[in-house]
Amino acid sequence: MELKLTHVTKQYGTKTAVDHINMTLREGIYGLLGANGAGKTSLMRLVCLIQKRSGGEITLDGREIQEMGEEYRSLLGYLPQNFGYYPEFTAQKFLLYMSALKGLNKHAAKRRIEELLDVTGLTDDRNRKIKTFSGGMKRRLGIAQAMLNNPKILILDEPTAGLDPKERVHFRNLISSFSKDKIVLLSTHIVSDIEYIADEILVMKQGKLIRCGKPQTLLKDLEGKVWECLVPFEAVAEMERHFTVGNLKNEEQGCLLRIVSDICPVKGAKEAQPSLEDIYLYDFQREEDKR
Amino acid sequence: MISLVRLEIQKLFRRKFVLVLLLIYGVVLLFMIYAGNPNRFSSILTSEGDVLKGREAVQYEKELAESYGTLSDQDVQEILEENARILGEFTDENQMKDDVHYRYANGFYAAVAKVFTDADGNYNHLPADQVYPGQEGLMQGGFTSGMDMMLSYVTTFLLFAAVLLIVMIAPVFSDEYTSGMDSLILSSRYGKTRCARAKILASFLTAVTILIGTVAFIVLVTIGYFGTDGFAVDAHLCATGMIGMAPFALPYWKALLILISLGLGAIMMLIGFALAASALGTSSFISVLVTLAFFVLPIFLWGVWDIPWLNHLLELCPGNLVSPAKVFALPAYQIGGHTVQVYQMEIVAAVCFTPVCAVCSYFGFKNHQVRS
Repeated sequence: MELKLTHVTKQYGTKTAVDHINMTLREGIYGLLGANGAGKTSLMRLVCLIQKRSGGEITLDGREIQEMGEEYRSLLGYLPQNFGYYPEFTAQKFLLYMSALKGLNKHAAKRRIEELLDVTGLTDDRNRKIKTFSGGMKRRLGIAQAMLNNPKILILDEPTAGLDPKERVHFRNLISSFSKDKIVLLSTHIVSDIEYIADEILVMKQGKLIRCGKPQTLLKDLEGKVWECLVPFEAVAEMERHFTVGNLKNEEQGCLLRIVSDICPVKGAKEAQPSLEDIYLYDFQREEDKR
Repeated sequence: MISLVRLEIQKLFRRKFVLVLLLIYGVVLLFMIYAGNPNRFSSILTSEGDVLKGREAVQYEKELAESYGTLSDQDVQEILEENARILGEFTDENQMKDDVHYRYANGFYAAVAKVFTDADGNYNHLPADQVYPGQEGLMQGGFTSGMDMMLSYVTTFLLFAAVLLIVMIAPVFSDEYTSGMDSLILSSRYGKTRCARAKILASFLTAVTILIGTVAFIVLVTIGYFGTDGFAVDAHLCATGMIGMAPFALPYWKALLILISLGLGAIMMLIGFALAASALGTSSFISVLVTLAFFVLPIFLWGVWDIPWLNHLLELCPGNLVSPAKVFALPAYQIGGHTVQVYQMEIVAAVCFTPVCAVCSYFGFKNHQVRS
């Protein structure tokens, strides 16, 4: 299975949200990183056919997804960033409604709902109205509905927003176990969400895809650009002004800084092993500072 | 598809505001039905000057009306004279002057007097076909109070139902946009096809069920109260003025069918419009507002400008549900040598307009671009 995006563009008036994106997704987990407004959500909406492209094409195994219509959507599972729901519906009723939309027959739907309520830890709350759910529970319900039709293409937009650390770990494992023979595209700006499970990382900035590759490859790209140095307390502010400081730890002799920089920030700084968070900082920190 | 329609219908009834409106609707309906029961029938004066109330009054009026059948000039004159005699002998003048009720001895006499007297209450000496052009032969008289109540309640509740249904149906699509459910629905397999169709079908089914339920309830209860007396009577005798000047023979049963068809047509137009406004709009509030405007504005705009085509267009809008008498009073259309009454044109308009709106709402939702 191959989902191919060719010169995919989305414009809102004069603003280009997605700018000539080219990528090919095959079975595996893809972590889509980017700051707010980078175009992640727009890109996902285009892939889900809920927004019209301004240009380009998206094909699944060579067929234009727009033309595939129902056939394509039957392969799709989607959890949007702002997950909508019916407050007066119970979890079970909501999932039944979504099953009907996804074309599951009644018996298959009931069986699948049982499984997913169990997997997402909502079995005991199945008959509670969604309006009484916590943010995390709603998110888990959202994940359950996305998986109802056992989708071949799973699009998750900020799926871990509102989840506590334990739920996030649970969610990561859930996605990991689910991803076999499937394309999973997961957007986040919480790097740890994808650090361990993503087969490939895609980094978007101002609508463009600026990085794309396996985590190890991307980390290799950043080798020699991550530094650790001990600086006096009074120099910290100055360092923050000039460099992207990823981490700051107070020690007895001064402050231990982790800096992402193309050049050695200070004499005596030591090269450190890069992490995905460093990639994110390298690509976005300056931009966010500008804001 | 069936399960989707069922779920969409359930969704229509889940909003608290809708439930409150339905409750009010039901309570008002029951109250009005209670208020119209024969035990509360207005008092009448018999030819002997006895005052009868409730069921006794109903029975007396029915027997009196049946004794006449078709109304010849002689019958009419006799009725008017008898009415004057009873009032003269058994009520005092001050009472007659102040209380409209005492201008007529009973409902049957009141109905006849409405047709065959002038503004001062004097016999106009006109045959029925001159009072109502199109009337064929003598007017069929009979007991009209039951049918008057039925027509009046049907029209009133069609109006209430229209408002209730606008509030219920107008958010069908736009609520999905504001709640953020549009993303999930439109990305699901049947979201752009069967779901959109299910929403439209569920809306029309709900509207038809509420309408038919209401009308059937009113008709059955009224028949239970007063029997079927009056079905064949000429509806021009209608004391409430609801039929107005219909320029053709119109027994009550036909008047009832026309009112139901008009109401059904008008409400189908409103539902269609509400769905289109909902699918193409951005919020439930706006779609409710726009649909209410479509319902109400033509009532006030009709006749404001002397533009015939515009007035004809406004005549065909669902706002005429408010005033069937106006619909009957409007001049008929002449199309290809045929006379087509305005109410017939309204039904044709509803049959044409409603599917167009339904199709617009279908494609409006299908092509909706998720924004939130």
